[in-house]
Amino acid sequence: MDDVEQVTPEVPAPAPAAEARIRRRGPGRAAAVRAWLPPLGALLVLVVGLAVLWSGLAHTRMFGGEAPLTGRLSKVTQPVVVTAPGMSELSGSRFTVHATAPDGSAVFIGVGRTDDVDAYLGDVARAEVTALEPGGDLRVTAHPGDPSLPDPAGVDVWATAVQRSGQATLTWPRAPGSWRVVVAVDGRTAPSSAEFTWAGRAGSSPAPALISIGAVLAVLGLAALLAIRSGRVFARADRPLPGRLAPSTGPLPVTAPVTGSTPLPGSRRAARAADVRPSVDGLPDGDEGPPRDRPGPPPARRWGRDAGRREVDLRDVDLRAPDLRAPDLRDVDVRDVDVRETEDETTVIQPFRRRRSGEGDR
Amino acid sequence: MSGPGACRAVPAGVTALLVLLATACAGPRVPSAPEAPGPHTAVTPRQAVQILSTVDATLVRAVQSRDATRLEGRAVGPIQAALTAAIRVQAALKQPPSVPPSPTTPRLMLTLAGPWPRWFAVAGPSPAATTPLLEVLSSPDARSPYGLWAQLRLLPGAVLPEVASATAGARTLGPGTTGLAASPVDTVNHYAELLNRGDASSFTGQFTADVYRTELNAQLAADRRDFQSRGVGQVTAVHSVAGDPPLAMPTLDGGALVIGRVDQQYTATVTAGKGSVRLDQQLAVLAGRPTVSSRLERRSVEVFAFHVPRAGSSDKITLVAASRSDVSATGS
Repeated sequence: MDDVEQVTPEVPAPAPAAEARIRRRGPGRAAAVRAWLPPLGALLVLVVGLAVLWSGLAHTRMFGGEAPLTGRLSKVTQPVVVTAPGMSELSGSRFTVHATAPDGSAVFIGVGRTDDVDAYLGDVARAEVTALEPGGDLRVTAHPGDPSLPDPAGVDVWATAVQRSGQATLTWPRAPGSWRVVVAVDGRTAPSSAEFTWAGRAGSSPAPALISIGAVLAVLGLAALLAIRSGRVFARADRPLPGRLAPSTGPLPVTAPVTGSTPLPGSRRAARAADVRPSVDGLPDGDEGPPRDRPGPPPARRWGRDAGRREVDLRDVDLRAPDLRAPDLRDVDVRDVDVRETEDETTVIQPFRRRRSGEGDR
Repeated sequence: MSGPGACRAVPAGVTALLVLLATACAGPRVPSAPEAPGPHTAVTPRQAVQILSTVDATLVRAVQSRDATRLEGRAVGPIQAALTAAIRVQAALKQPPSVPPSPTTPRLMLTLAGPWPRWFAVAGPSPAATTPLLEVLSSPDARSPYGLWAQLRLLPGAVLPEVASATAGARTLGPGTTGLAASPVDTVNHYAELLNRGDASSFTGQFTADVYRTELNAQLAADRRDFQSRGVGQVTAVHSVAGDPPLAMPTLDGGALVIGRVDQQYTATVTAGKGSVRLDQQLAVLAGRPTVSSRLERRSVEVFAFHVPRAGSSDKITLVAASRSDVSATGS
């Protein structure tokens, strides 16, 4: 222990204001506040972690987050049922509407942009669906107004629509923008019922990220709490334990190695002292492998993300701007892009093929 | 609160928070505010194709049943008047129903959503027409469907200017839009005066020569020569801009595509005691008589599509498409 010397660093005395505060509140109270901060912080981390974890689990199918949600509207008195903006994106990636009409009348379901639908509806009396209650009921706000409106099937504000006798089903995929769904019969008669179903996996679920972050935070918070409770990390200010650091304003004796310490066996210092380089893969430390003029070992097989990646030559990439001309839609088979599948029936938007002059009705 | 007490309170607090969270998750699902809609076309390309299909089907039904009332709002404005007259003529002459041709591979020219009235156009070739067609569809309000407003034929050698793609959409230009060689309303007004005054018009240098104007003036001059040579009377033709404001959308070259309607009033006055004038079959059906001995008034609707260059350009305004249809006649 000849090469170890005792040093006593100068610890600055507390500022006058702080000293006065400590004197006013008493040193025991200030120390208690300082001692409570770590467990409170750990508790906060634990709670936040659990909350984030719970939120992530709520997005999973196991907890009903991505399970189909269904809302029913069994009694309609207004001639039009319309959803509030955003209702079709309440959950999942697909919004399905099933509606029935009295006496086998043709029932209409259409989806249109909010502004267009509002302009079409005008002041007509309507039942606006504004929320889905936990029990599966739909929260509806009744708006009084004109008793009828023009036949919805005769206007062109619909991005997609379907009209069937007796009952109809329409599935609307999540699409950017603000949309309303309208259920009507002929503009005068109220539909018999309407059932809304939200299903499908949303495009990007936050569940994995939320669960991961929440679990990490919860574990950290719990570990910190347990460590604090077991007394291995922080001491209670009012019960200083032997051998632990107690709050003090005086000089703090510190024992520090200065020179000539013996390196720990196996450490780098020990290795340097013995001038023996640790080896990696059979090569001495610092060895860059076989000389360039000697044939080296075959290149190691690459694994992971870079494995099998093709070397791309920019000359093979077409860097020109894309052709922005309007596509020739008459050559597009719309069936390929717009098939609406439903649980009980499949509504296929028929392909649109313009008739040439002289063709008869189909 | 002492330390052990606080430690006992930890599980209770966590439990309470979880209960609160569970309660919150079980509440009603209320939609979040949807994102603000950016600029978008008034109709999607798919909607436009569906509308075109519906319009065609309705036109076929009306023409084949020889019943103009079955157009049901799917033909409006100039084309409605023209189709009504055509159905009347075909029925009277027992001609086979003739439905206007439609583009088979159309190029959609969609406009951005805005207040009504809204419109969009479509252009393309048709096997039933020697030159490509340009169709304009219009919807007067949200409660009225899109109907065919006009069907023009591209003039021989004319090139339809490029406009925004159907997915991006083009904004509509007002009648008085500046930054062009002439505003849309001035373009139509000046061309109508050019038709009325011919080379004497002060706007002759503003427009390139076109086949439509040449043939119209030639026909009018031939009618005048016939009347004068036989001394039976005189012929006048007046072109006046209709009340419909012109439709316009910007082109990719900084100019605009302007579409406007002009009405032509053709009057033939027969000098008393100089005999009578025999009308051709179609005109006789519209006038309700085969000859006129005093006066014939024929009304036609003309729709023109111009390519108007941007202001400061050395290019002239070009008529790229036109249509003309007799819609009514009276004779005495």
